[in-house]
Amino acid sequence: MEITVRACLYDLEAYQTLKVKVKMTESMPKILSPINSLEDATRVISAGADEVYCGAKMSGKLKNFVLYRGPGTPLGIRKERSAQRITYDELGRIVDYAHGHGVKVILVVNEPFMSEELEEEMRGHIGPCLDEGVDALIIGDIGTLLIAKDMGVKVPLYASTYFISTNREAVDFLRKLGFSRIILDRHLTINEISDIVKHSKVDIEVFCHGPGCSNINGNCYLYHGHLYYHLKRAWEEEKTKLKRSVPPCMFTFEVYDADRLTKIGKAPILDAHTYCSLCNVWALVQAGVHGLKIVGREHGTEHKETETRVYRKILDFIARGQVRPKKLRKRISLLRKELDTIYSAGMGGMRRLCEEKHCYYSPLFERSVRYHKRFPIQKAK
Amino acid sequence: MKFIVQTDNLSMIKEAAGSDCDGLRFGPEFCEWKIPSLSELEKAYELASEGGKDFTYVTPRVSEGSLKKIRENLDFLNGKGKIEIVINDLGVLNILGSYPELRPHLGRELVYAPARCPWLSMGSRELGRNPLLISWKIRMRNVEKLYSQTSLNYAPTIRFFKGYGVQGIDVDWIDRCFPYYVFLVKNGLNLSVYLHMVPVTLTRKCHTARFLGERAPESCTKPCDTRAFLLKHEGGLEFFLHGNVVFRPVQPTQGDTRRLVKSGVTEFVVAMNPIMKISSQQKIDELIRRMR
Repeated sequence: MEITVRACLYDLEAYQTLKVKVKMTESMPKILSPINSLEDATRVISAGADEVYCGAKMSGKLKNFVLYRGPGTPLGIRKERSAQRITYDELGRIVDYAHGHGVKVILVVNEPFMSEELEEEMRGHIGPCLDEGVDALIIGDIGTLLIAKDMGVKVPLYASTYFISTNREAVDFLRKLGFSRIILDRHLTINEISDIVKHSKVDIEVFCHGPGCSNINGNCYLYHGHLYYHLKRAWEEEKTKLKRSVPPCMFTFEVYDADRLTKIGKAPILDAHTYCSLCNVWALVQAGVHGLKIVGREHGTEHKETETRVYRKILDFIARGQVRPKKLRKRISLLRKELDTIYSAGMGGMRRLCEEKHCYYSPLFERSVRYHKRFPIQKAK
Repeated sequence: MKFIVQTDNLSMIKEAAGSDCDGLRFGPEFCEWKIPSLSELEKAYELASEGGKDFTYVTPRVSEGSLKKIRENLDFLNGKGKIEIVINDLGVLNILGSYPELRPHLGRELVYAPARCPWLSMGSRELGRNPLLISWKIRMRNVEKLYSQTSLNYAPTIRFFKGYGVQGIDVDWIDRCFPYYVFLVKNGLNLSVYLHMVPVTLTRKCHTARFLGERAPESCTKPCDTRAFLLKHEGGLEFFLHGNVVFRPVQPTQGDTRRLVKSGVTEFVVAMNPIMKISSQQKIDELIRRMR
């Protein structure tokens, strides 16, 4: 593995301490970090992000039509929790800053939906973003792709996870449509990822960390951010019990047999626990993925920075060739502690994120069965 | 008006073949581990032919391993005339290019419909009289129509899929969407409307299998053939869990069926499953009689 080392004078602090960053060869995956402001961008870039991705503030119907891009702004949800609050001006400043540090800015326009009524607004949104100099577009719907092509977009197009690519043929289909990078579905195993990478002619990117989805992204209708108000009562119940806010897929449900309507028990039955892949980064490197994507544009800056730094450290560690299992395990355990600091500070029980059994990529059922044994279903009285 | 019965179970298709339905759909819509073997498919096809029913093969979203099985099944069906293949995976659409006789039909996993969201069906009464809601309601009014459409309510997208030979799509029985189905019909798509169950979310990490302690997908005992669960939350939520899919129930009416027929819908799909307890010929006939 060829490694070139160069000093990266990212910011004043880095300059003062003369931090040295190990720059990977082509075969090492890139870290893609989420950002939601210029401050986010400066912090994740200094933490070691190779690329950053963000959405930009939309207007008109696009602004109010919220599907997956995190909670919108209304209903007491804090404005800064919205995943789309970067203005075109700020986007320009982010692009300038990132390009100055050799980092690409990728724009997310990946609602899995397009309609006659949204077409003009989407054109009116993509145009100014391109003018600001973004390096690529993440697209999640055929309609949006057709608009981008019709506009003669010159930047590379990346296929969002909303295309739910789970096999080589799907990747090939998207490649033929003009996508140069495919973001795979989150539910694949490492073997499946490896097989796709081996046979694909485009770059393959995978999710590695962040709020994991127990359900398939593009087919989940539990998460329409702005409609959470309908869940107020259920949400408050859960918050009292768990001391934190959780999405509906993590709620504890009473489970009845649908046939006889007898109560079987109580369980967070829709929660399959997928958050982190720290322990599996080495396997993902071996699989040859092009990018490791951290999720959570709406998270706090410290979160994004710490997650980026941790993944940077583990990649650098692997790149130095120090992959003896014992050493790697030790390093992972140290990095887990580093991650724990942000979760315990801000998200209470989410320290469990980084436990080995909750990694993104592992056999589909085994981990779940282990969880099932550890937290047995409460039997109905 | 055609009524089509869908199942992934050979014993159930025997019941369906003897019923008054107009066609049979065979294969799992959501779970790749339930894809029928070639011999099961042959048997199902034979039963449909004997009963004089149209035959449609249903495929779920698949990983590479299961694509091999689907290829085998498509090879068998390729010589059997113009059979419709319900696809829920772009990879399957890609390989259908080499089977010119088979006609792709977009399944529900490839048709994005925001109105499947259970919270959207809740009225403003549930929201109470919170003054914070006023501005939200005004904004919602602006985009309300969009939440009732599908990702195919855009003519270039329809043309794109038609370019791959797609003539029809699957949609749900969601009454707020009915006015927008007209656009799809006008653009030359045949709509197949599912009665009863709207899929709210689905997973590969099967919730039923995990709940019942199944060890691995390859050795799954398929408890979903006979079991489903009702999920209730103290906060007033109710869903059904069947296999790897969470559904919300809807109650179709004869009046709505007529409304849909008037707007050009010609096909209705009845899924045989333990939630609706539609598991026998008699039950299918009763339902079809009621809806016609």
